[in-house]
Amino acid sequence: MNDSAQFLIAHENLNKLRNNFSNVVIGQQATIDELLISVAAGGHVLIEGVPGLAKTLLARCLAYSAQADDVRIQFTPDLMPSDIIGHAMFESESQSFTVREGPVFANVVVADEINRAPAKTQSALLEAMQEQQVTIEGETRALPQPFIVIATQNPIEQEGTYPLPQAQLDRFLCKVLIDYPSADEELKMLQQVTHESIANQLDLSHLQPVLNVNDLVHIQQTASFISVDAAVQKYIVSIVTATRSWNGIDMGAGPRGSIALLRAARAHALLHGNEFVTPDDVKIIATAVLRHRIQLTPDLEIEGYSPDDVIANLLSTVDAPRT
Amino acid sequence: MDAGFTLARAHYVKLVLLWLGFAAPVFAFCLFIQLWMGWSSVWSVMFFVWWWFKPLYELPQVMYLSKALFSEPVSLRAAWKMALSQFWLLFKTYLTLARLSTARSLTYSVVFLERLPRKQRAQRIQTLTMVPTRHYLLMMVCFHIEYILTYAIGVALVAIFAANMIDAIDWLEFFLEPDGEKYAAWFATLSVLALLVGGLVAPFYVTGGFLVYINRRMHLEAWDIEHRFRNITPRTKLTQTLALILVSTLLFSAPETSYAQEQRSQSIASMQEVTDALSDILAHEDFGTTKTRKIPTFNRDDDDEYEESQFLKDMREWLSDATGPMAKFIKLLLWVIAVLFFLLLLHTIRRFRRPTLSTRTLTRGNNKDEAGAISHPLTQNLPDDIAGGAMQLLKKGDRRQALSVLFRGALRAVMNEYDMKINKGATESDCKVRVAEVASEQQVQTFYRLLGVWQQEAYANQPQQEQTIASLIQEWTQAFPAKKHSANAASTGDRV
Repeated sequence: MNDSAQFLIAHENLNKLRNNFSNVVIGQQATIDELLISVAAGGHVLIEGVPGLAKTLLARCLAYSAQADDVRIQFTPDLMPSDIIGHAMFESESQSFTVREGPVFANVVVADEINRAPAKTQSALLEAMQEQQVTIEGETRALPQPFIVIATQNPIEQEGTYPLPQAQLDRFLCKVLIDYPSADEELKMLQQVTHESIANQLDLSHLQPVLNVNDLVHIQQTASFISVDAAVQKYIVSIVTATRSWNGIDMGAGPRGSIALLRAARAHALLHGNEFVTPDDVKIIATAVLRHRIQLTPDLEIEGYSPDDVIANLLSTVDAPRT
Repeated sequence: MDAGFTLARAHYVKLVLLWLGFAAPVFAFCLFIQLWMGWSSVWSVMFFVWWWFKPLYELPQVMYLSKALFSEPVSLRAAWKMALSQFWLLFKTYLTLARLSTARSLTYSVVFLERLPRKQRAQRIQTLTMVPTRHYLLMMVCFHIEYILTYAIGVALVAIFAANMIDAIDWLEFFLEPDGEKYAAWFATLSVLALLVGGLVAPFYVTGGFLVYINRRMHLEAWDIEHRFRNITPRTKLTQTLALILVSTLLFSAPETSYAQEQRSQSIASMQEVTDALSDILAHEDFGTTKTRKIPTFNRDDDDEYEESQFLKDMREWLSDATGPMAKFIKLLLWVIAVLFFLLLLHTIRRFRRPTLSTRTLTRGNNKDEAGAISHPLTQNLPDDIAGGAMQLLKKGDRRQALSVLFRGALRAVMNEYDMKINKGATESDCKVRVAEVASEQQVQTFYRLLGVWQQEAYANQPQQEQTIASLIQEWTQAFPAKKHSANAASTGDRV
């Protein structure tokens, strides 16, 4: 099979996944797209939104649609690193230590309310997210592929939370914001969710497994082969370096930001059926990729500006490729 | 100041009316001018003019107090009349730069009641303020009370009658950009409140300053004792008249003067005796304070009692010789510092001119940072003849540049023809949307085809056939005829 055929299959699979999401998640199309772009780019996603906006449902949908192993870890203040990555245990029968793998050994790990656990526990995910492996008692173990962490956090209840350190945030490819649905979407939701449903179960009955784990890996591989012109690469670097010298941004994005933006742009092109990356792909996904990598100056924060406002302003002034 | 506040309370209503008597007409006049000029939203200028004339409103209060303190209160009309008669003096003294003086309430009396010539007035004010009178504290306290009350009442009114407006106020914008339709109603309310609250606070400010002045004069010149002596004179005059009547009656009606009556007539003091007695008292050492100030001066050369040592002489000569070069050196040093400071200033300005997120221009979700054809970087360095330039590049084999010129040329043509503006960071999709909004159907179709070919060539690295590009150039020429966009072409450069 040639590259074009591979591309078409990956694009179709990604769209199958997208359509499957729409059967369960009502509205939130931009959120779904950003989540799928992160998945296609082989990145991890941080979903932020107030309770009840289908954050967990999104993660479950992904795992179910792709027939992937999924695990949900509820982050709490007393959660320990070993509760996530696993630990060595002495077995009296064999008189030896055996390693018990933690819940992190799954394809899709949903880290629910990740900011409720202390930094030590959050950091337990660092190695897993960056290097796709964990080290338990000196023994390094590879994680199953694909490995995707979908973390959620609530932006309003800040008491008793531990804001994610910048090093941890940098590991997330995208930060996806979920907003309230429109009135029509909410009405649809009422009709669909409460029909023949007991209590608050996550109703995944409308969902069909449309892919398998290998298809997901194939999508990620295809995305990584999409060609990017040097002018577009320069454009990416211009955007990221602009965040470092922009008045109004205290701390700009690092080189990992450039890499993430390139990967996300490729995935965006794949999702939209483009065999090459254009500046549009970069610009559209830049906000989701950069919003958690920049730190605004206190005066802008006090005035109520969000990173999205600043990035929109920045994108409008960074010259797009034209020659 | 306590005495001042007591005095203000005693005459409070009259003092408030005296203030409003001048302040309200000036306010109405400013309002009239504002509406007449059509500046319905420019409240800051009107308010500033009204505020600048504050000494005028306080002057009748000073006039009134100067009489009321000595138990000779005048009518409101008389106080206003007295104030108006001194308007020119007021204008020269308090409506120019001295308007910003913090000692205004203290010096009113010197200027308007003593009416001393300019030099003596300055000396008198210097004498009065030689010891700390804390008059500036009075100014600060009254200023704060006035503005806090104004804003507090304003906010309270809004909270009571239109609570939903509070959340809609951007306070930073409210204070930094007071003018504009958005907050016009707010500032109209606040200006009226400032008028009323000013009237409530001014009596305390003026009376406080006036009594500080009186207190200083008492300390300096024993005014209280003098005041008492002055009160003696009218009483003495009355006694003297009665005594004369009595003496006359006795002289013409009685055959002889009794010893007791003689003694009484002798005991009545004459004016001359009273004056002498006062002079004696005033000449006593308890009255008046003499201050001696010692100022060190250099001994002159012809001072016989001082013998200067040789070392000091040499030092003095050296210093006198070195003064010139030292002065020159210091002058040079100061120039260097000034130049360095200027350079530092330039550097600082340059640093702040980095791409900046201006909080004033930042708009959520809708960026206005757009440019037209002349200044937009997309359209820079384009040839006058777009189609010709593109064809030349195509013949040279530079297909990418040929398509780039066509793409940017089309954009420039649409910008010129429809006065379209796009921001610097506009990508192909952004341009597509903007062009579709304004351009003709033929232009839009050509632009879309052009973008498709350009993206394939530039980003997909798929070389396009020369034939395709040549036909695009031809199509371009039809969609964007030269006459429509050549007007501004020269100003956007002429190189590829």
